[in-house]
Amino acid sequence: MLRETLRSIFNKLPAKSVHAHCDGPCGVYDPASARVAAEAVLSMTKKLIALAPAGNDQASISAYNNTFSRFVAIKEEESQKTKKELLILWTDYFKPEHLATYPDLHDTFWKAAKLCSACKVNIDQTKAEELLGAVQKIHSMFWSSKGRNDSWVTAS
Amino acid sequence: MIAGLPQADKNLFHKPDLFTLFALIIGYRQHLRVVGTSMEGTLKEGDLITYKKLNPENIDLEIGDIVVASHPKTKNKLIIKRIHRIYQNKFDLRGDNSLSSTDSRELGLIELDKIIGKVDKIFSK
Repeated sequence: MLRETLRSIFNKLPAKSVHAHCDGPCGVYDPASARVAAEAVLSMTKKLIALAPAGNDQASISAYNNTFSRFVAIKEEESQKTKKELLILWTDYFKPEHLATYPDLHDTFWKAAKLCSACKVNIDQTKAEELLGAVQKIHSMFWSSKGRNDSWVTAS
Repeated sequence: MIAGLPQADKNLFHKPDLFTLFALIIGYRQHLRVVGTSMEGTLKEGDLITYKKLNPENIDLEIGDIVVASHPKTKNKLIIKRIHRIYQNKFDLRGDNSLSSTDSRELGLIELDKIIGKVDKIFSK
């Protein structure tokens, strides 16, 4: 009885916090942000490949140039965003201990980051698909490292 | 006996007692409540710990000790970690739950003046 009362008092005793956790938004990592950006890269790449001027007149050429520039700008931006999101997972979430379970972790991230660059430099659907594939592999590594098996769902 | 813990840790676990309660109430002992999971395996969220303030005249820190330290980058934030290595008065502090801990692997070595005290009692929630 006394022990239970004491335990209850100890559990409710006001106390300052001491942190035994990660910094910032602790544990809030999700490869979904990289996936959305990589999907956008693939989508813009496909749109760029399919894009053609409506005619040979000046207005059509101007419209084409304008749309082409916008698509390229978005593809660049989303490629960079994919790289940023992947680097956050690589350098902040994954720890040296994960290498025992995922020995190809560094290689996977390095190749994925290289694919982001390739997607910026080129209009290459194969590279964009490879990038999405690499993000899917990272998605699987990430969730299995948390003991979960979240399915891979794309927006498009 | 608590399986899997280093011998030194077993002596840290105590059941709540009147003497400690009195010592906490009158402020004779410092106490803190654990938040987070980086010390899981030893400390769980909500556990209450007491610590001995570091005596600058007699630093008795050893590898394996659980310590309370000021966060090296965030003001007014205390962290609780285990001493993993000591390099000339600089401390490599690590969480027991290495997969979910921000510690010296990212924060770097912690200077002695950031170490506030050594945990001497743990009261599990």
